[in-house]
Amino acid sequence: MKISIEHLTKRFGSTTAVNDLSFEIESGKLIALLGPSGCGKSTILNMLSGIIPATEGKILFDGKDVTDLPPEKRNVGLVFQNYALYPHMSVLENIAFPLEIKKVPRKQRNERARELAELVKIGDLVERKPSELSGGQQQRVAIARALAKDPALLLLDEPLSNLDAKLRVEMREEILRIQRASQVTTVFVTHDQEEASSIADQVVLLRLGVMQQQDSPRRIYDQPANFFTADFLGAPPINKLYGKMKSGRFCLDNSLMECQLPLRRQVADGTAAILAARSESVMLSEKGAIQARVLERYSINKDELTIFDIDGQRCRGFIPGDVALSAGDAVRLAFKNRGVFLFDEATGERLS
Amino acid sequence: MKSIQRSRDGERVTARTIAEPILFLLPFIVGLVTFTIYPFVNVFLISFKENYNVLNGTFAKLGLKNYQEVITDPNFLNGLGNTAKYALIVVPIATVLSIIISTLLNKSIKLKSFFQTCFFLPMVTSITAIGLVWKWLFNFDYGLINYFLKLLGGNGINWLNDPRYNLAALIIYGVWSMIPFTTILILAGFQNVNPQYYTAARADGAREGKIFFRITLPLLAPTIGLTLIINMISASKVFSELFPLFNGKPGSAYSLYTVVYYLYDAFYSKWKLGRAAACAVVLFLIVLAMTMIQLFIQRKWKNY
Amino acid sequence: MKKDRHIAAYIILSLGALLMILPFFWMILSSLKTAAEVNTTPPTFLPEDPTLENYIYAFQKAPFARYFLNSVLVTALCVAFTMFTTILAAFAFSRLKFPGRDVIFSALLALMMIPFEMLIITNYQTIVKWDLIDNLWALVLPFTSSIFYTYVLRNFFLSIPDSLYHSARVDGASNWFYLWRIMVPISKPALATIGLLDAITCWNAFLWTVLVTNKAETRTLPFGLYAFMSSSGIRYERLMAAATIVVLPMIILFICFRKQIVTGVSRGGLKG
Ligand SMILES: Nc1ncnc2c1ncn2[C@@H]1O[C@H](COP(=O)(O)OP(=O)(O)OP(=O)(O)O)[C@@H](O)[C@H]1O
Ligand SMILES: [Mg+2]
Repeated sequence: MKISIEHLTKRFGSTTAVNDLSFEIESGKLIALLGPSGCGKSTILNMLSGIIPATEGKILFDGKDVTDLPPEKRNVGLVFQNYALYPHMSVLENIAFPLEIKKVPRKQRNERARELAELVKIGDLVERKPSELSGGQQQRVAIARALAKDPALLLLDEPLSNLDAKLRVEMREEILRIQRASQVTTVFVTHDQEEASSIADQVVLLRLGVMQQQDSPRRIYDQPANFFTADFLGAPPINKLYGKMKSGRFCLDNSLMECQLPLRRQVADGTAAILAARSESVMLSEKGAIQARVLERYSINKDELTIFDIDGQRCRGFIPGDVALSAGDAVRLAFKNRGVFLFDEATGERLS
Repeated sequence: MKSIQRSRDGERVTARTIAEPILFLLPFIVGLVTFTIYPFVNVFLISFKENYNVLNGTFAKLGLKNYQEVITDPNFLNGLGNTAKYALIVVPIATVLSIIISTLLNKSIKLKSFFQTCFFLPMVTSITAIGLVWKWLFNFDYGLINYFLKLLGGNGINWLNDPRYNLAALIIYGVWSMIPFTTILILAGFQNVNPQYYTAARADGAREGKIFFRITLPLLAPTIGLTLIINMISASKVFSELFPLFNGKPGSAYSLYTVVYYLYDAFYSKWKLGRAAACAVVLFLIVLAMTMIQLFIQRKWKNY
Repeated sequence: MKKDRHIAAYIILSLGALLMILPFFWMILSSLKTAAEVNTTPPTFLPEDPTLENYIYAFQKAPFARYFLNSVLVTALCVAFTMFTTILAAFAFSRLKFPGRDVIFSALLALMMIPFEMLIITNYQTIVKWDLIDNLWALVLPFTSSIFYTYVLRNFFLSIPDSLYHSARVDGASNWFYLWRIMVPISKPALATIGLLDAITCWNAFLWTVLVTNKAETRTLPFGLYAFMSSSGIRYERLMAAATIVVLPMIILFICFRKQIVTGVSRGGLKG
């Protein structure tokens, strides 16, 4: 099912949780709603499911306006952060619950519930109560239950945030597998950028209820639309060097360092700007324009994350482990072409 | 496009969302209005109707005659006095005993549930049935209480037939039946006392008695205050106990009226509804005053 | 030294416990004695010649079986009705949205302090008007709406996460279905407490029963017992047998469900 969201707005009293949001989700895709806590992700999900009404705007399912349909008429499956399993029912009863509501005969619905339990690989746990399951197992039950009524849209609200790091990685692959197997259009809410990137066909990045960018994980990382996006994605966080524009070039404050990047438009002299560079785009170069001093080195797998001091501003870079560097060394740095951006400091607008 | 009604917070308003709360509340509200709210309002009205005729609902005029009659009626004054005496004696005694019992029950002792069962049991039993047992215990010739008194070298007391001792008998029975509830509340109050206070006090070398009076009691004060008021309210409604003990009479010489007994008597035996209503209003005012005190205490002690 | 203190505690508690349950023991022991043995000084402790005569007498001469049945019936109906209205009202006050919900609820809480004794005059008139004197319904209907139980249950309902509700709604459950299929089963402990407290209250109700029942066929146990005392004279061995019939079910109930009853009572006392 294709989902279209048009100028969707939600206000709670004076706070605007979601502000004039428009985007589309292709049928059968898995998209991630990504953003920091409180940016309105759950609110969007709840509007998609019909739990809370929209203040303004429209939601279309396959072109049909469902904005004012109550939740039970939308045919969506919903998985909550805390799974919301019914504690007094067995796993099987939980999974079969949506069918029970539809008055599907017991035998049939139990059969279907068993199938789903197999799909999410908890076939041997169906007689247990939710309290007798681990977090990961509970989550599978919740997904199976959401899938039980063959929803046209599957909504997952931070389903992995209660799990430990290892399980989280396993489960997100599991979700991807289930989604591919069932081909259901899926919206996955998370505040973890790595999770979003690893699972989604498309990422929708939000900030304070406003959409920042919708793109594939690769593009949103390589081509951030603004400073917030560049800063939000990537670990370690992108390097930020603060300076000013001078005749089309970025200059560090009180420094001789200059850097030229192809600009998208004319930028007035003296505009405060941020040079943002991914750590993997920082390299040592004899002819590099930037003078820096090594502060510290950490090992991260085969590379060493090195922290440099550039005229009082900090910068991280991945430097191959075989390059001998020690704290206090003076070096020259340069940036690769990829992963380096220039932003207007005041507006966050991308300049390069 | 059809327009959709929305409430202030944007929820859809449909026939169903309007009807549902009403239907869910209906059984509850019907019962409440019929048997609580309407009678509550009505009792005030009746209390002002002079010479109210129950059968056809006519009355002479509205006025304060009922109140006048009630507050000048020696039986009512007797009832007010007895009720006050009863409450003022039973409640403090029961509270002190309950504090002792709950303090001991709160220690890490064995057989805790056995003791709890013993101390709480009277709470679930019928006042009438157990009142009858007390009547038997109070029996002048063969009662267990007089037997023990004589064993200790005293004389038997004619608890139930000598008006001088009627109130005492009622009080003994009252204390016994008030202990379970009070003990439960105070035990619950103990859960708000952080055991670390004790550990700290013991580490400082404080003795048991000192700990009790300087730490336990002050920390329990809000609970105790509350139980005092709750018990005062229930004690001011003392009534059912009179039936088994004195065969339905207010004491052996009609000298042990209580407020509620007076109400019952005016209403059911004498058929003076106006007077009964006036008495009911007085009872309500007493309860109201005590509830206000309770709310005040609760508010004041919230900060603990 | 610690030990000594505990020994003192045991002694005091044992004495106290003995005093508290002495009436119950004495009741049961006396009920098993003969008339001659009851009226002896000094009293015997254990019955010398235990007999069930008194129980047989109570069941034969006074319709205690009937009283018992009435009590069971009235209690069951009371509890069933009260639970029904309470569950629905608590759901409305915790889950449904309607204007003025919380204001109305606070107003109801204020009504909790109205003493029932104050309401008997009008309620009696109502029962007369409905022609329900000497009808068991008269013992049930006035007690079907309890603000206190609604308050307790509403608080319990509020502690059930919203996500369960939303999840069920998304799956298509109506409020009614959600209430009975999810909310009620989850709230079993709270409902048990409420049911037990209500059963105890109904079983022991006296004042109202005296007012609205006259005939033996509609008496419940406490009133039946009182009538038995007035009519068949003061024969303590028989009265104690009758009293035992009244009290024993509640004692058994209490011993089985002590925990629930005690938590219910303490929650009731320390509300707010
Ligand atoms: N019922 C409500 N009433 C008032 N404000 C609300 C309500 N629900 C959400 N908000 C506000 O709307 C904003 C977005 O909330 P939302 O729950 O959608 O955030 P989120 O992105 O899901 O955050 P998280 O990652 O912490 O779950 C927040 O500022 C929140 O305080
Ligand atoms: Mg959220």
